[in-house]
Amino acid sequence: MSLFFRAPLEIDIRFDSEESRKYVDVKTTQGRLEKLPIYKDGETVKGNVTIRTKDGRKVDHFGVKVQLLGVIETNSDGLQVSEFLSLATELAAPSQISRPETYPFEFKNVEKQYESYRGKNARLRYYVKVVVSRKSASEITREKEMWVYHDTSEAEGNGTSSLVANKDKPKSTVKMDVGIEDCLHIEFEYLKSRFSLKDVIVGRIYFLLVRLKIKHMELLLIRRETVGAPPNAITDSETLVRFEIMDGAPVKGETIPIRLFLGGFDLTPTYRDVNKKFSTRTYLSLVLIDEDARRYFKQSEIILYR
Amino acid sequence: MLYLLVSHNNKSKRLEGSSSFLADLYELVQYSGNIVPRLYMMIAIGTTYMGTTDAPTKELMKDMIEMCRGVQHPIRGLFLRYYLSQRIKNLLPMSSEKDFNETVSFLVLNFIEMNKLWVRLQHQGHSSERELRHRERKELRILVGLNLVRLSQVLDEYTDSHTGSVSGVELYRDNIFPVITDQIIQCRDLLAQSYLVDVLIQIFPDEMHLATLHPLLNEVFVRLHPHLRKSELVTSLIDRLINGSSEEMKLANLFETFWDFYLQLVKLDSDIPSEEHSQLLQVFIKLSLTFDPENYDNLNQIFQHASQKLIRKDAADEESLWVDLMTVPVRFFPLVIELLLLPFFHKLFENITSPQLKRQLGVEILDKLLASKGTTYQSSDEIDAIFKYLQVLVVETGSEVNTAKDLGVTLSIKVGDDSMVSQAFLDVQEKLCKIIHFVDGSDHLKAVSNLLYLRKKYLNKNLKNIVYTYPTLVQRILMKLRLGLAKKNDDDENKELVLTSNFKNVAMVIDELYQHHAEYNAEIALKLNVNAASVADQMNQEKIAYEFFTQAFTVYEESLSTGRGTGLNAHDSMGGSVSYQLVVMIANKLASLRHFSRENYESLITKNTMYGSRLLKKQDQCRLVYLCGHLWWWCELLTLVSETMNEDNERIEHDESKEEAENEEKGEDDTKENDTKSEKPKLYRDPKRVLECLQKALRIADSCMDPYLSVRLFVEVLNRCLEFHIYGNELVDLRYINGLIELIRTNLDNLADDGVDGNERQLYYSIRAYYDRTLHYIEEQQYLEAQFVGVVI
Repeated sequence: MSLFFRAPLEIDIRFDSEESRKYVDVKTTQGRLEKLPIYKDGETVKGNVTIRTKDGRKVDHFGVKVQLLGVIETNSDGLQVSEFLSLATELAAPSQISRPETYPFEFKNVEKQYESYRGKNARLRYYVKVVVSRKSASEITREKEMWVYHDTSEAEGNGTSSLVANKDKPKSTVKMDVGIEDCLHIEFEYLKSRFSLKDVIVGRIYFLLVRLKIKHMELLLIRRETVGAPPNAITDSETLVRFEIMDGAPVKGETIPIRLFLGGFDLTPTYRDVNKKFSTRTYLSLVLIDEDARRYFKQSEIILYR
Repeated sequence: MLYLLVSHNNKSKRLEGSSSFLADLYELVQYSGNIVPRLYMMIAIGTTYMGTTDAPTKELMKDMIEMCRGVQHPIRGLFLRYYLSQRIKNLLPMSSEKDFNETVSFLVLNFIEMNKLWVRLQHQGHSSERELRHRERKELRILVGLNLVRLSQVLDEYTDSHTGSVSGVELYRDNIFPVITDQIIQCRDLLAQSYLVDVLIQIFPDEMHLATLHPLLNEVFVRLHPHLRKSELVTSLIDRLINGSSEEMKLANLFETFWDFYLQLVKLDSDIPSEEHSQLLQVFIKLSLTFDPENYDNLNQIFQHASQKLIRKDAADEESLWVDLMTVPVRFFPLVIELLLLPFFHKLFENITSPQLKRQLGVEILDKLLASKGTTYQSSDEIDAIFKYLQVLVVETGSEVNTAKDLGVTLSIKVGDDSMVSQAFLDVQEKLCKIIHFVDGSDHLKAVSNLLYLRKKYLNKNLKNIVYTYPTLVQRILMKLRLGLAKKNDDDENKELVLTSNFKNVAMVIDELYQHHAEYNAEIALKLNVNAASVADQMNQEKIAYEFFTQAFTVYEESLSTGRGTGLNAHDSMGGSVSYQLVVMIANKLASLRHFSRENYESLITKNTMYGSRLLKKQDQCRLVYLCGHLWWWCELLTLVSETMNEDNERIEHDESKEEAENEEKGEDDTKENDTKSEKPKLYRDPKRVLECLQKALRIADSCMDPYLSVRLFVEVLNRCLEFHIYGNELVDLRYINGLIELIRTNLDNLADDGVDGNERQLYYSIRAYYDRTLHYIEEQQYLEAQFVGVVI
């Protein structure tokens, strides 16, 4: 920023119809919320760039260009950036700027292959970058980020998870029988394993044998982000949702209902091997906590899609 | 509560527009990560939502109760579900039969789940806290019970609205009762079962219980926890039915139903404790008495069962239970005599071995008998019927107060022979005496023979206690004799015979009493003899009366002439020793005799006077002698009294009062020769002997060592002299009276000088005042009636 203030030019990027566009709140790495405009795959990115000089000075430049970039930044082994999309247009030939100038730009029907993503060790960003090249000093740049959602994604993967045990119907219902011998035996059942982000997880847990002194039971939604190729892959897990579904100890024969609305949480659809750089998956974890604070859990992946 | 408030505010906002606000809110709160607050919020909003129009009421209701399953912690779960049921109570759908069924299944489900939680609470935590858990559960039970209350209210509403095709009773019988009772049985928890069955009994209406009585007893009660005291439940059920006691119940064979249940219960569990049996049978008795008071067979059946099956010889400590069982009908039965006639009631009574318990029961019966006024016992059978229960009170009285056991707690009373008895014992004896008064017969003579039967068969079985009952018995016999024979014509040939034999019986009874109680209670025998004599005289049976007097004299001489008991104040003419009192009493009875030959009479009065003159103390001798003077001078006042046959035999003591009465009424003596006595046209009068008595009394008074007492007695004699003068005894003339006055005055003057200290002064003044009053009276009479003219004052 300090660099920017010292720069003699002020660059302002504006997208068309910014007021009517939908925005998304995204957390920055500093933890603040940032409002970003939403674009879809194949949508035209169009706008204006305004360049002003400061204090009425005259600035010479070697040309102004605008770029639309799509990059994946990974942090597996030092920051690595790889571009998967790069479009550029020349806005102005080398000249002198003495008063504010506005240049329109347009990238028509841009294919945006991936959705934007900000994770712990991986980020997928789309942004417009304006570069003013100068003879003497370094170039002056200005970036403006946008957020890309795909409309509906029939998504990667077809809805099953290798971690799901004793699966009855590959189609939708997930039913599991888990237990610790002579201690606990439960059966749980979700109506499906693929959920839209606005969906509701509905299911039930049936206690067949309870010898543990259970204090409560929770449902966790865990996002697991994997960066890099298998030998050097870095995996980071983050618990997004902690949802208590039972208080106290049930007895044999009890059925506990599960209902978890997903719509209100900041979830990420399941991404697999995005540009061979990273993946995000979401796991549903059922955790039983006993009176001695021991935790017993069972995880299974669920497929999320937008 | 804040959420509740907010949701209410939002609700009012909602009415203006944004239609699904509460629906959204209902979803929104479900993001809450913690289950308990989440559910409270859901319920708060959900129920508010239910209250709005077009809300998916039934879906909400089902959703909430379904989601409540997530709270398995017993206490939190109980309160959560209670909150749900409180919030929803006015919102339950009731408009159609389908709605109603859903409401019922909602409530039943909530009840079942709450009961499970409640039962589970018992098994939480450390086993050392079991008692604490139990207490907690007791405090929380109302939460569970309220579900049943709500069900009952809903049923009421349903019945009132007549919406459905089936009646409320049918619905209860077919849909509610089986589910609820099944849950109660299945939970196998003692506290839950006893409380919930009780609630079930209390809150559902009678007609529903009637409809399900059979399954309730035979399918539910018998399957409850074996340690559960079914008697309490049966009791409250029966109490419930009794209090309701509508007409239709009278038609139902309630007793048979309960009895069948009881037999089944006994068959299934032979280890039922005796307390249970006793309790159960007690309420059955109540039931039978309420709904079928005339049916003694039921009771007999119960007692038969108890006496044959239940009483064990070796279990004396259980006997109190059977006594309780027998006490119930005694207290509640309208006609206790009918009860006493039940053969198995008596059998059961016989089976009780503890005399104390038998007594306790006997007293209950006795009280009840006494309470049923107007009932008399006319035949020996009836006497047998009651006395086979009461005999224990006669025979094994337990009168001895055991100080080691009682530690002096019981109030004890000292009786004649220095032994102590309790107040309770005396009360019982008194009640027995009251019962004796209820013994009667078809005629008076029959009554007499019944009384004698009673004595022979029951009362004399414990000779120690006849002292309490015989006086009453004798008086009752005498009364009946007098009434019976007064009605018979004099020319009845049998009369003499009957009289003689009956009086002989009386004599025998009194003699029996005397034989066993001569030492301490001879007075009673004496009084009874004198009374019998008096009655015999009234029946014109001189010979018999004479015998009784002779008997009385014998008693006196043998046992009473030694003069126990002292009148503490010698100056008080009301006092005197026991002997003095008795002789006075005999004198009184003698004075009222009217059917004696002169010879016999004189022999008796002479003897009595002699007893008087031989008393221990001077003042007693003196007073008796001047009193006996009256025996030689009949006064018509007494004659008139003795002519009325109804004279109360028991008027024995306090002849003084009578004398005073005579003193005051002597103005009426001018009617004296109007006597109409048929047998004795002339009243017996012997002025010489009267004078002798007065002289003797003066002599005794004179020989008194105490000058004050001596003068006092002089004044008393003076008063007697005035009296006899008024009666017309010419030997007691004015000269004689003047002499006496002179004597007293001299003596008083002597005393006036010396006595100075307080006590003697007091005595002097009191005698002086007495004397002055006497003189004043004479003066008055001189002026008013022109009597005693010539007496020098």
